[in-house]
Parts: sequence; structure tokens; C-alpha cells
Amino acid sequence: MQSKTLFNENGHQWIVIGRDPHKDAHVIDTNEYVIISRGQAMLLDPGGIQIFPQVLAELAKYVRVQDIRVIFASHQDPDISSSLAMWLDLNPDIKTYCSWLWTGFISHFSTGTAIELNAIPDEGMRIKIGDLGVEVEAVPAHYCHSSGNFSLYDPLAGILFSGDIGSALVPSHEAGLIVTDFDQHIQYMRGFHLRWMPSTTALRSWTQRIRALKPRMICPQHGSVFQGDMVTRLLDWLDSLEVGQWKGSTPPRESAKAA
Amino acid sequence: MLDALGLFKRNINQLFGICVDIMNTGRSLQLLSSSMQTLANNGVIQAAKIGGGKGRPILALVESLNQTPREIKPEVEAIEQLCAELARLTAQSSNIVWRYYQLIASVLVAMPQGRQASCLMDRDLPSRLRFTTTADISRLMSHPSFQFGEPLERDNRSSIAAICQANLTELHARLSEALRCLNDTRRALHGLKMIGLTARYMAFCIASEAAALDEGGMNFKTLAAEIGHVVDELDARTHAMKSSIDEGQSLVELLLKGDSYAKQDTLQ
Repeated sequence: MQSKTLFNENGHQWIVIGRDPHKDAHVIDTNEYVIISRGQAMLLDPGGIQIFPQVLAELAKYVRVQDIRVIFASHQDPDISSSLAMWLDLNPDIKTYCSWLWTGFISHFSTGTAIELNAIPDEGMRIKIGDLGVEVEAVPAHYCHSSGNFSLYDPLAGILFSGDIGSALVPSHEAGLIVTDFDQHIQYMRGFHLRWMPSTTALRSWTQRIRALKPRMICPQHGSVFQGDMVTRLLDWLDSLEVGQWKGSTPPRESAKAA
Repeated sequence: MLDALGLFKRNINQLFGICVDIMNTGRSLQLLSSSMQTLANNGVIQAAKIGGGKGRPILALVESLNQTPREIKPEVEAIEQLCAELARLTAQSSNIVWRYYQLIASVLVAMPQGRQASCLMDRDLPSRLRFTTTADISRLMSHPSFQFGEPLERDNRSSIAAICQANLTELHARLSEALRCLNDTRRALHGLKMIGLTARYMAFCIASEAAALDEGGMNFKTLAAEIGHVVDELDARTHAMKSSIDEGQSLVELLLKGDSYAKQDTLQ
């Protein structure tokens, strides 16, 4: 597992953990992010159970396990939070946040102790990182791709965690963690967005909300991080997409008639 | 190392499967108890129909037999309770070992790699430990390489290893309780067997008395044969439960010692 500090100013840090060369080939590669604010940490989409040992071992280089105070789940998928029970086993005081739509579903990841989740309302909310840390903002991203979906914006760092938006299926663990050639990178994002994003309207409404925030960096859950000019290029590219267009294959009977 | 622990984990899941089998068989005993009750009621009615003094010995026997299901019922209920407790304990054990496996894997991934670790005399120690006992974790924690790295990493390694030890202690407590439950279930089954033997003896006596009756005796011969079948079924199911209990017991005893069992089918 690799890790990289994306931001570090006045005791406020963003770290990305990802690109596990040892993970099983059938497990999709994910990025896990941690915000450390005045010694207290927030974990964003902590990942699936398969990669929990690697993520924990890497995270242990940056923050005391007892200082993880908050977990944010952008949506309900297993690659986002099937490890939740493990994190809560490590530290039962961690506060966990996800869309109100999924609290009852994610609780099924429990392996003993009940998982109690704090519900984020549809319009989003501010979340404080522990008792001492700063506040970050859950930004609505519904239907991008999940029907109850949030991005997370940190105004102090100017970094947006975008969940699956901007994600890419990069070919190997050696791919760079930061996007340097946007045009080259599109090939890894295109299929992902066309199939996993169900609503062009929802996607455009999200880009509008994000443009207003003017983030300096966009960090997706899969693939590579966008910074500087790449942020605008990503938002423009997303605006150009028509997603959720699968119309189904022609049923065999129809094909026969046509013939 | 993780292969040995993986097998240990799989054995605990197998134990859960065995205990579910025991529980299902235990529940099926309730049906046998009902069948026995129906047969005994039927016997009382048939015996009451026999005129004169001829039916008295049989009536006395079937009335006595009528008590058997009442004796079986609390025994079967007690077995059901024990079986449910057993399934609960082994399900908890499966959850604990699953969490433990992930955490100990984290500790090992977080162990220092490369030159710093390889300069140790006993650098292969972690790969030789099986991590199925708290003693294994203590050995790892006292190994010099455990103290390498930045203070933050060392602290985290220690605190995760401490949780691992707590998990294993909890696992052993659950397995010990499961072993006690298995023994209690075996004892309860012995009580059931004694009741079955009594019922079989009653059936034999009823058949003997029925031989002295004329046509009316046929009903009682059939009744005695039916009771015999129910007791046979009871014996077969208690035997199956005993085999599962033996299997479960051997497995728990191995697991409590930190050992595991590689063969996928029944235990030797």
C-alpha cells in the first residue's frame, strides 16, 4: 500500500492511501483518505474488508488509532465501508456518518456490536473532526452514483473528496496518484462514468455546486487525484458527458423479426 | 503464519456448522415427543374399550406409557436451549476470530520490513508463530523488531496487538463455554436415552399382554410396534447428535490449545 501527503499546513493534513500491489486482482483498487486536524483524524471511505489490514498498517504511520474520531461514508457500497465493523472494533468511539438513506443498510456490516450511524440529511451538513478539529462539509452528490451520495469538502485545505465522481480504473498499481495528463487519463474514466453514473442531470447539478466551492484539489475514491488546472478540466469534462444511456440489447425475438 | 491462522478460523466456522446440526437435530426431537404422546393417548382409548378385567393390565401400562412424553418434553426443551446457546456461542466465536484475523494481519503488515528487521538474529520469528494463542502474540510483542520504527508506529502496533490479545482471550472464553455446553448436551441426551429405554420396555410389556387378548390384541401389537419405531428414531437421532457432539468436542479441545484440524470431513 502506498500513501502520500496531499496537504500539510499548520497541523492540518490530507493523506491518500492506495495502490496496493498485493491486493487480489479481482478486488477493485480504491483510495482511502484521512484528514488529520489538530491531532484528530477523519477517515473518508475507509474501504472494503479485504484491504483493511493494509490500510490500517499504512494509516498507523500517520495517526494514533485512538485518535481516529470520525468516519465518513460517501455511499453504501461494500468497497466504501464493509470494513466499518473493524474500525469500530478498534475504536468504538468513532462517529460514523452516511446518507440517511443508507444507515439501516450499512448497519448490516456489523459483526457483533451494533453499528450506529449518524444520518446525513439530503441537503448535507457540517461535520466536526473530533472535539478539536475543524469542520468539513458533506456536499450532496445524490445519483452520482448512489441515490443517497455525498462528497466532502474541506474549506481549510480547499480539497474536495468526490467519492466515485472523477474515478478511474487505472491499469496498474504503478499509475501515478496525481493526474498529470488529463487527455491521457480520460480513457480510464470514461467507461466508469458512462456506466456507473445514472443521471446526467444529477451530474451537472453536482458540477455546478462544486464550481461554486472552487476546490483546489478533487480526490476521487478510485484512480488519481486532480489538482490545479486539472480540477477545471475534470468539471468541464463531466459537464460534457451524457451518462446513464444504456438502452439494453435487442431481444432475440425482435432481431429475428427484423431479419 | 496466516495459513495456519486461516485454518484455525475455518475450523471455528466448521464448529459453528456442527453446532447448527446439533441444534437442528435437537429441535426435531420435539416432533418425536409429540408422536409418542399421540400413540400413548391412542393406547389409553383402546384399553378403555376392552370390557371386563382383561383390559386392566394394558390400561395400567398405557397410562404409565402416557407419562413418558411428559418426561421427555422438559428434557427435549433443555436440550433445545443448550443447542441454541451452543449455536450462539459458536456464532460469536466466528465473528471474533474473523475480526482477530484482520487485526493480526494488520500488525504483521505494520511490522518493520527490510534491513532494519533482517539484522535481527531471529528475523523469521513472525513467520514461525501461528498466532492462535495469546502466548504467540506475547512472543511477537517481546521480539526486538516489534520495537523498531517511529514512536507513533510502535504505539499503534502495541495497541492493535493488545486488542488482538483481548480478542483471543474472548475467543477462548467463548470456546470454553461452548465446550461446557457440549458436555451438558451430552448429559441431557443420556437422560433422554433412559426415557427411551423405559418406553421400549413398556412397549414390550404391552405386546406381551396383547398376546393374551383375542382380536382386540392386534391394536396393541401395532401400538407396541409403533412405539418401538418412535424409540428407534429417537435412538438414531440421539446417536447422530452424540457423533456431532464428539466431533465438536474434539475440535473445541484442539482450538483451545491453539491447534487446528486440516481435514475437511469428519474428525478422527
